[in-house]
Amino acid sequence: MNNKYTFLEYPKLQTIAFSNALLGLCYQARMSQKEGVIFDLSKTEFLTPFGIVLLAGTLSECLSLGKEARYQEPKKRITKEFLAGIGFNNFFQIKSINHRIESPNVQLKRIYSLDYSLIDQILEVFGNFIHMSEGVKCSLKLALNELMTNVFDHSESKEGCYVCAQSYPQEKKIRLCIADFGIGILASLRKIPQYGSLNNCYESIKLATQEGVTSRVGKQAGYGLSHINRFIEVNEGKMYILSGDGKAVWNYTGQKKRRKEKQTMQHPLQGTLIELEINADKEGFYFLSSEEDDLF
Amino acid sequence: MKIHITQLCEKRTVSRDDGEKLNKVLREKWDEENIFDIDFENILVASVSFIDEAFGKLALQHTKEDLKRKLRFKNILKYDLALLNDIINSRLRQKETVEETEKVEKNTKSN
Repeated sequence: MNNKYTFLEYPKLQTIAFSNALLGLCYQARMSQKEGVIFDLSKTEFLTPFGIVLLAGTLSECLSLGKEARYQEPKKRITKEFLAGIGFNNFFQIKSINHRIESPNVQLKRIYSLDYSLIDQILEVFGNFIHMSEGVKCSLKLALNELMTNVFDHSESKEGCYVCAQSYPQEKKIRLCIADFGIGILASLRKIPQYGSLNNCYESIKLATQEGVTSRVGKQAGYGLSHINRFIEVNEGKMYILSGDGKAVWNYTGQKKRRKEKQTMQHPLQGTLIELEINADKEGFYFLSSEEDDLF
Repeated sequence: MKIHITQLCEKRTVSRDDGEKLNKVLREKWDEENIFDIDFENILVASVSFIDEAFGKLALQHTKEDLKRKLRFKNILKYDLALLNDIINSRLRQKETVEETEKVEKNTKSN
């Protein structure tokens, strides 16, 4: 049997800190010439939205390539129940403990077009489980709006995108991740003659977060990511963007305030993934305050 | 002219295409109407794309004074109002930069 399958052993922690290792597993799954892939999560104990959307995207890709995908559940009961609770098992029709658990998390979603009600659903779920300041509620909606709009405006993803969000009431944090498996930021920006000579994924990510930079041909746009970045800064949160072999981290927490980190991935991500870490009870409104006179 | 956001856009107040629908009405009626009363009906829009496409881009074609005179916002939440001001100020800054660059280029050519 083992000759027929590529066996992928997932680590204990599936978080963005392990993006290199996890992208390596994605790569192996994608490149496998065997009949099927076994996703072994038996050692996995903790997954963040990043880990969940990456796993979901990889599983889907294998299935769409006609490969058989097998899945070994986490041994740790709480992790197994968590995956069932966010709808992961239903999503991939995994026959297992299929009970839905009252969970402070949003169900894993795959969307193919802008979903106007999903954003309000996410806010409603979080509203029941974690206290959010008014500014965070509004800015979380803004972030969801802009990230989803970006996917359908720029990614050219045939597979739609995955959205996953989790709240951590004890830490007063929210993590939100959205990933598409489209052309990536570099290819998208290069369609504009002005950026035609760009050849570095990390530089393209940095550029995409600047005000007024867009890949919409002949249009003036490009305010979404720069607004999200400003909100994350005021909120003292974190923003991670992975696209191609580039990874950029904006870390505005504690002593690392204003630190921007650059990493090059050994195995590129086909598409773009953005994860936000938001402090739920910190104010997120005042990033919009300016020294200029308000017109209205 | 009275515009109710939900009557015109229903729940579609997120994307640039959604904002374009409202912008089209404003552009087409700009010279005919003295004042546009835009009623947000206390819904939270929180979309940079929508607000920029609907209102921000007007700042590239019209003066600050014209915008202030012609646009009136009703039942707009504090967050959306701050976002609106932020975006319009960005667009006005962008217009100023373009105008200054053009001036410099003109002067360089004439010299």
